[in-house]
Amino acid sequence: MTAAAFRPTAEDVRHVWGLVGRVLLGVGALHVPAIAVAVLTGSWHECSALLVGAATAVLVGTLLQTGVESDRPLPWAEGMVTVALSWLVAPVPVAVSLYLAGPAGSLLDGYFDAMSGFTTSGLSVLQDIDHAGAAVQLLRHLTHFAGGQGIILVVLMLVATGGPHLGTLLAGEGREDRLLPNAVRTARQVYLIATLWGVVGIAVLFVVLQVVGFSPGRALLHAAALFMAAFDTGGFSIQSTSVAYYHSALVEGVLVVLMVAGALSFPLHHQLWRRRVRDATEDFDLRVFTGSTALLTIGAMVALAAHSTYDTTGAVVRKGAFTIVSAATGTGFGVVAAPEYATWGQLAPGLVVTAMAFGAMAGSTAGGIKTVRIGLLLKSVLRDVRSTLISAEAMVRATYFQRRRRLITDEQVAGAVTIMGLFVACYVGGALVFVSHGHALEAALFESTSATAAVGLSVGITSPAAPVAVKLTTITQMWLGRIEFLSAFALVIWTGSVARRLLEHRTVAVR
Amino acid sequence: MNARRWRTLGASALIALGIGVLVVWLRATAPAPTTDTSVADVLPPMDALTCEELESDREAVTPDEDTVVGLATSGTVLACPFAFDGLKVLYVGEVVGDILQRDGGAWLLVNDDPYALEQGPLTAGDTPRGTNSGLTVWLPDPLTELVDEPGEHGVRGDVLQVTGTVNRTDPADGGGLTIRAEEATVLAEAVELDEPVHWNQVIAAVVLGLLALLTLWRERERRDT
Repeated sequence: MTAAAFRPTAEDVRHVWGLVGRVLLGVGALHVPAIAVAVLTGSWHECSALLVGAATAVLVGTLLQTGVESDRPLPWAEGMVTVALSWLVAPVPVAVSLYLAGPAGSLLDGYFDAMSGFTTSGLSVLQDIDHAGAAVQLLRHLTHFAGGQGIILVVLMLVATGGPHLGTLLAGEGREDRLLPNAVRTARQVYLIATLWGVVGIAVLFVVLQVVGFSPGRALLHAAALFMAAFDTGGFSIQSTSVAYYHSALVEGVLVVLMVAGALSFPLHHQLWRRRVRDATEDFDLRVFTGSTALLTIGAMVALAAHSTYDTTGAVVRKGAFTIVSAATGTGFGVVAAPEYATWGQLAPGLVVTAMAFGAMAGSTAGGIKTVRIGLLLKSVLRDVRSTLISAEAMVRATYFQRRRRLITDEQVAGAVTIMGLFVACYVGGALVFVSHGHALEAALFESTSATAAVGLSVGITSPAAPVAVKLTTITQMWLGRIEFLSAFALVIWTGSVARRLLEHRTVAVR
Repeated sequence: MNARRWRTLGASALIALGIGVLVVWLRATAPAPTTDTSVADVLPPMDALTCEELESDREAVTPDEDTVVGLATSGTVLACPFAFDGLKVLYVGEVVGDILQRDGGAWLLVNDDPYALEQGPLTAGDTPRGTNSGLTVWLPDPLTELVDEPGEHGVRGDVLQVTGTVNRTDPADGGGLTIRAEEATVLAEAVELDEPVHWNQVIAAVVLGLLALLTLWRERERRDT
């Protein structure tokens, strides 16, 4: 962080809010397809509700960016602050839409759902979702699509002239790994990859859903929603029973493919795009992710079989494997109702929590600690053990492959430990809040990990009836987990500096 | 610091606050639907089974496996699935979503929450009553022909009464919790909600929309010059 970050001028503050204003314009644009669906389906109440939300985003967004120069360089600290603020402000217009449309019981509930959508968490406190209209459902799932690829990326696409100066925004979202030298081209490439997956994914789901009994119109809506929730590892669903609603191993199979695709990093997708298959298959992060997911899946199935939760092997495989993949990829699709986890014993839910906590690949749409950090820590521990076994003075080197062979440095390990420590603190901190509201520790840890790692599986703590403190804690966890903490710290320090400067200004004026 | 710059930010914050107040007022003044969707008068006149009575003395409640032991609700079945496993029960709820036709029958999601049996689909003018709650029902042919219209946005679907056996881990559903229906009757047919137009919201949407477009247009003009 530069020294200037701690003494922001009015110009700096305006610039940051101007960029946030552009993000709001993006959120306004996100409403357009949903409004079109409301018009097509004749849902006029939803249409007016969504129009108010969209107009709020455009009006406030335009005012905020008025007079802000788009080609002004963006220092590192301002980039981090912009990201943190954007993720806080972007859900507001969607909250307005959901509240006015009906399913959100309060503005806070609407904000909860919108934050959950943008952070691709998938936890929800909306009510009577089984009667919600297609427009509302589409808007919720579009928040997954925008959030999964990164709202900031949308902004980069909207304001291409400012692109070269906005590269720091990517880092603030935990996406330091650019695909291409230019941030705008990186953003476009990410959306191109996502769109291609979208075309194929929606087409396949559209066919499969008709095979399992859907009418063409309903199949299209469900296919689009399922794709966005699966590929963006979000987890929202159109029906209250999530994926259990479809009663189909075929649908679950397609969703597993899409969830895993969403959990792969965009640089890896880019390598596959450029037909560097060998580089992709040797990728260290990919190997850790697939290895840990496979081990956890086998563990969960063994635990479920040992606990005699299900009578058949098919049931153990379908429920166990799907739930672990859903947890490890950070999607949060459910194939069992929340109270049913109580019939799973202790070990299987424990493995689900572990899968959620680990997360998926860095640079993907998933949350959590990220498997590359877990892998780096394991490798560094092995390195230290080998060093100790050889001799106290021995210098043992450890490497990993990510597009090229890289040496594991102490700085990398320290960074991984820091982020891991912050995630664990957030998992435990949230759980303590839930415990203080009368929930059992196991359930509290499950829900807290799910929220922080942006997964969305729930044992029922998240509900419309939850106390405000529980909802606010969960919102904070989803936000912190998505921006990986550092941007939040930058925002706190920056806000303090702005407040201090304002006070200084007032003191001088009074004198 | 430049006071004019702060004024612009302050004005944006005030407008956002004003819109917030408007939004709360719009929700508070949303009209409730005029359609009567309650099915209370056609529900079977019996108390629902509880987990406590099944878990304390299941044999007393279930003399044999062919006897219908009583009325089950989704809340209690999900709370104590082992206690209900294999019992023949009566279950009442609204069919929502889709009729997923398969060989020999169809999968249905049948909700027994307040939106299904009391107040009808939630609208902005209603008091929210929590999340949905329901159970999966396998309805064999030709009983599937009974279901005409499932519930969806603006429609309270057909309300079914089914007699069937609870399967805690139904192999036909990959281990899901289901009720396999043997008998079914439609207690109430689907009704479409008559939701009055919320004119305040329509006016607010038009005015705010025009203001947003005007502001956007002026900003573009300013940038072009």
